[in-house]
Amino acid sequence: MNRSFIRQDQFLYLKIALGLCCISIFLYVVDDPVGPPSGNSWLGYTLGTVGTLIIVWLVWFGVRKRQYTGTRYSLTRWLSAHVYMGTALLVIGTLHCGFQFDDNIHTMAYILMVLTILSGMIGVYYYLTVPGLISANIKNSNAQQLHETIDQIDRKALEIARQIDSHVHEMMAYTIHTTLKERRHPSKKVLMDMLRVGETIKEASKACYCSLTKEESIAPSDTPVSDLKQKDPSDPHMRLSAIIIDLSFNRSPGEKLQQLLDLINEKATCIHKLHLDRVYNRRLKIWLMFHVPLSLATLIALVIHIVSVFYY
Amino acid sequence: MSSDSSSYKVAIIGSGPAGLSAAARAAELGIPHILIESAPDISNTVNFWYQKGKHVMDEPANMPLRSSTKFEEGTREEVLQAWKEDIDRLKINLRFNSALKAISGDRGAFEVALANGEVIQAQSVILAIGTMGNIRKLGIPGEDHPAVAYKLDDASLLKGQRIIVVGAGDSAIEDAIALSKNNKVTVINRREGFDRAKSRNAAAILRAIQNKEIDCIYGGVPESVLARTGEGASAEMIVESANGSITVPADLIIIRAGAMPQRKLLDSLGVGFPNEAETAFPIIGEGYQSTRAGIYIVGALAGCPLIKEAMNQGYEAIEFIEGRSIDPADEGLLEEVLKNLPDYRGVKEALTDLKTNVPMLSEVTTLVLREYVRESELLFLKAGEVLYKPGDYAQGISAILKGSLALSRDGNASERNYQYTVGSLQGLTSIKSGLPQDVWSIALEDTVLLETPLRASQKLFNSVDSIKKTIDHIFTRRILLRSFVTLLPEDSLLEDINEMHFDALAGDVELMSLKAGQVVYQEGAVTDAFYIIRSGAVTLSRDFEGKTQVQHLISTGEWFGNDEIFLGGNRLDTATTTSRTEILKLDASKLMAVLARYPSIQHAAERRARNMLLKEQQKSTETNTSAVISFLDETGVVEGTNVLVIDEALCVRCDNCEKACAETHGGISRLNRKAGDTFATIHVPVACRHCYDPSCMKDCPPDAISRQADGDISINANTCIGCGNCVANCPFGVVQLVAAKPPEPTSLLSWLLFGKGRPPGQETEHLHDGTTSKKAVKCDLCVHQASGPACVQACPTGAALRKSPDQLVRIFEASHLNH
Ligand SMILES: Cc1cc2nc3c(=O)[nH]c(=O)nc-3n(C[C@H](O)[C@H](O)[C@H](O)COP(=O)(O)OP(=O)(O)OC[C@H]3O[C@@H](n4cnc5c(N)ncnc54)[C@H](O)[C@@H]3O)c2cc1C
Ligand code: HEM
Ligand code: SF4
Ligand code: SF4
Repeated sequence: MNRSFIRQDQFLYLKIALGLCCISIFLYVVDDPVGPPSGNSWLGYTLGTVGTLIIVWLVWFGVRKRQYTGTRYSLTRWLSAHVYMGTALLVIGTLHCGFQFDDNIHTMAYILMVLTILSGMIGVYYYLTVPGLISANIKNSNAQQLHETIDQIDRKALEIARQIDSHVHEMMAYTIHTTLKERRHPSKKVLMDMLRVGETIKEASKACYCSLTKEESIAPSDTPVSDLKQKDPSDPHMRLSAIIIDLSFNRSPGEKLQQLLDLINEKATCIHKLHLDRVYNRRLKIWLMFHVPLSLATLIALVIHIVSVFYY
Repeated sequence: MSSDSSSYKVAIIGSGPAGLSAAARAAELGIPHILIESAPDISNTVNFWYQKGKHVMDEPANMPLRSSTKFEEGTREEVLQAWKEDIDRLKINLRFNSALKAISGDRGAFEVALANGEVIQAQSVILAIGTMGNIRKLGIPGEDHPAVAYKLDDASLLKGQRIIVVGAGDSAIEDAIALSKNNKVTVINRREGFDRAKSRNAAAILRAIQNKEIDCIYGGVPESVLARTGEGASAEMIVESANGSITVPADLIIIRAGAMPQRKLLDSLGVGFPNEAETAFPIIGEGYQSTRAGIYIVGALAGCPLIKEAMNQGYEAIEFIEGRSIDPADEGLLEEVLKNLPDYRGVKEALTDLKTNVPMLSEVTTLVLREYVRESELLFLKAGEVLYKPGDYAQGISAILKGSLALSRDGNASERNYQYTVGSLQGLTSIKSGLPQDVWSIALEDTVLLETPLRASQKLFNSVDSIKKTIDHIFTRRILLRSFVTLLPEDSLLEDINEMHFDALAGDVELMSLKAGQVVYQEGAVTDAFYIIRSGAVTLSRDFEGKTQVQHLISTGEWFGNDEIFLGGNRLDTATTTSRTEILKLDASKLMAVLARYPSIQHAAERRARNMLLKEQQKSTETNTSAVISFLDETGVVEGTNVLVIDEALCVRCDNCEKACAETHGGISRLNRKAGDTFATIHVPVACRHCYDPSCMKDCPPDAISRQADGDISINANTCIGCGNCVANCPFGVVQLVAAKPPEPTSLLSWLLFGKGRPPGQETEHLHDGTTSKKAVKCDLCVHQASGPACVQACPTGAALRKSPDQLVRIFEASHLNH
């Protein structure tokens, strides 16, 4: 990660931010204001002005992020500075108010600022951890390729199902049809559904494996199979599982059936990966939905705070 | 055998733009003529190969049209309609479904034999058969069944069909793979493999066959097509294979057996070629005459890749046959190029001077020379002005017409290393290898150069065999010199290194053309030669505790196998090609002989080789380097000079890179982040790599693609005719053909504050109404932006990198791959 926004320019912005904090703390310690430390001293005003400038500049990041032409410094540099200066604000802001809290607009602005900063830190945490999870989840591949793999599995499964039994074929075709539609418009519900399908099929196939590999057949009542059958008889996936299971009990375990189960297993894994992929990708965005409104709220609260200080 | 009783003054073969224009002129003049066409309709290239509704362009814009038929920019249908009207109006004597087979007799009394057995008498013959060849049909019963087709317009429209694809070339594979997504595809391959196709395509189809997504009948020979009645498929094909006769049902049979190249036919007609190269054009003398008297060649077959020029040539050929010498239509264009020459007297005189002053041009025919000059530009340098500096890429080959140039390593003309004078060529090494310049070239006095873009130069080299040989020789000599210079200690002058010292060495080279994965030499073998890569790449690997580890990647323009020469001893590594590679093999003892002239270089070389060896010994314990190199190699990253790579460990999938690209490039992103290859956390998105040897450039009719001085390969939107050749030729799928709606301007603040207008970075719509012509677009490295590539500039986390392959190897070697 030698080039990441964390290390940008050999931690230049971390150094600047630390410097700023040190100066602030030093001044805070040596300063001897009339009355308790607060925003209402020369140091308080200085820190307040610096803090305000930093906040405005932090919010400007949202604008800079969308300027694609005529930019001088890369966005990586901007983010590096944003992250460190934003964190420094925690020190500067706190010293500015001199640990004076109350239930007024001033403290409100402070709380919003702290929340923004905390959300930013969560963001950084996600930015540093989640990308690696995404890559590790879909190894050397991407979502598009996973979809293609599923397509291939579907095609193979359909062909094998056709060779087993017209009923199985019909059911397989039906499940493929539904997952196909679902995959095209993936929503949270759909993904959970898909996941459930995968899990169900996995369970069913696991049960089948047990029954296929064990010498004596297991009585249906003490396998998860019976549970499955009872769950929801109208669910096509359940029916498919049931058919597969019936087949495995009633006929000699065919090679074809094993192949089909393998494929379904494989598909379930793919769907699970797709689901995780979505979860991770969403994680990378969702925190911004807090960070951005919070930062705007901070800005507004800040304006009110300043106006009220000078007004009253 | 029947024969056409009448004798014609001229028989024109091929009714493409060139042949048609010739026939039109003949008809207009009332010359007894016949126009012979093998297809059932006129102009097969435009008719068959162009997509429906294609916008046909009339490049080059500044060349006048000289023809008795109309041709204006417009849709394919409009162009064809205008030609058909002219055929009726001028009463052109046209015969379809008649392919030329042989020509016997001599000028004044030719007998033109057609495939259907007919023989036609003609005094002269004009060959205008183009280069697209004849569609190879199978010649089997039932071939005219409506289910049989020869091309595929849009694979996405077909679903749930049974489709047979006959053929094993690139187009067959591409069709089969595209169709296999939604259909059941069977490929019939006469051979046992797919070695004729691009390696990527071959790998893809083998994978698909293994995964049972596509069926393949190897060694299959189609026997007949039968209609099927009843339910299911409408036809079936009987195929002979090793396992006997197989019946394959099909709704659609696509025959992609390729186009029949004309070379064999042309050779049998006695038309001379400069060399055996597949890409060579016939030798054409004055007045478009081939080496066989009385047979004229015009159009694409004469090396002219555009419609308007083809039509002009057809017209002019008739004029020449009629004994009229006319100024070629490009006279004005040539005048435009040459008129600023010092003491210019006229085009003709200037061309003669060129031939005498530039040895390379002395043997060239006027037609070839005219085209060469037409494509060129004069360049005037004052004394002390710089032609190029290290890091620049040559944009063409410049011949010195007047004055002289000094080459120098530090930009100081007085400390020159050597000097080039009138007649010598500049930019050759850079343009042939795709490498940037490594020295300064400075005018010593007022100097005039003729600068010619890559393709026009290449065409010239290929048109005369002796030129090709000379150029190859100079290239080898210079690349040797260049490699030599890398051995020099930084501070030393090149002073007495003389290019000519390398002449003997360069004269004794063996050109090795290798396929991917071939071994050049084995670890432990005797060191008797060293090598320079002309195109492609080679890995040097070493056995390390039973495992093969890649140590180095050597790419275009670099030399290898020389360290052992400097160190003495047997081979330390095994050298293996990674892709199709051309290597120059040179004698080791000769290298030592040259080295002996420069003791200081010899020492430096030895020192360097020893250091390298030490470093390698440290490195060989790291497996990752080897894996990274293999990945960069397999995905073709090594073919690029500047490649976009995303470090997935840092990429937060925000797509700001794509948005930045779209926003800075007319609303169309030239990179696709999600697509592409991945290894561990190294992701190579689909984006132009600015290859050393760009495949996209190879077949662009208006020569719209070129390497710019900054090294980027760029497409000129003004001259691109949207033929799609580059899209098909780029092995990395980075070129798009688009007609884009110009994006509405966006006001960032009003969008941010009020949500008004277009969000920045949003991609624009594509137009499908045929009013705008489609253009090829791809990454241009953001050369117009001072801050560099917008994608990299817009990445918040530093995940996006645009670097050369060796820089990438170094970065990833050092970074986080270790965990
Ligand atoms: C997809 C595509 C798009 C293009 N777009 C443009 C464009 O927009 N603008 C432009 O200026 N150029 C364009 N070009 C280039 C242009 O089409 C060619 O330069 C032009 O067609 C060459 O004309 P020609 O007459 O020499 O040969 P062709 O047009 O190739 O004609 C040759 C004719 O000879 C016939 N023939 C071949 N062999 C025999 C035989 N043995 N006996 C009898 N007849 C035979 C063929 O059937 C054919 O009709 C494009 C090319 C392609 C492939
Ligand atoms: C009061 C303090 C802060 C304000 C007002 C603020 C404001 C903003 C704004 C406006 C954006 C742009 C979001 C967008 O348009 O997509 C942003 C992005 C971001 N901020 Fe902050 N921020 C603050 C503090 C922090 C802190 C302390 C951190 C980290 C420790 C942080 C980390 C980030 C990150 C990682 C992004 C996302 C960058 C991207 O994906 O482009 N922020 N912030
Ligand atoms: S378009 Fe394709 S072939 Fe051309 S330079 Fe770019 S990557 Fe290479
Ligand atoms: S740039 Fe591509 S599409 Fe345009 S003319 Fe050249 S090869 Fe054809």
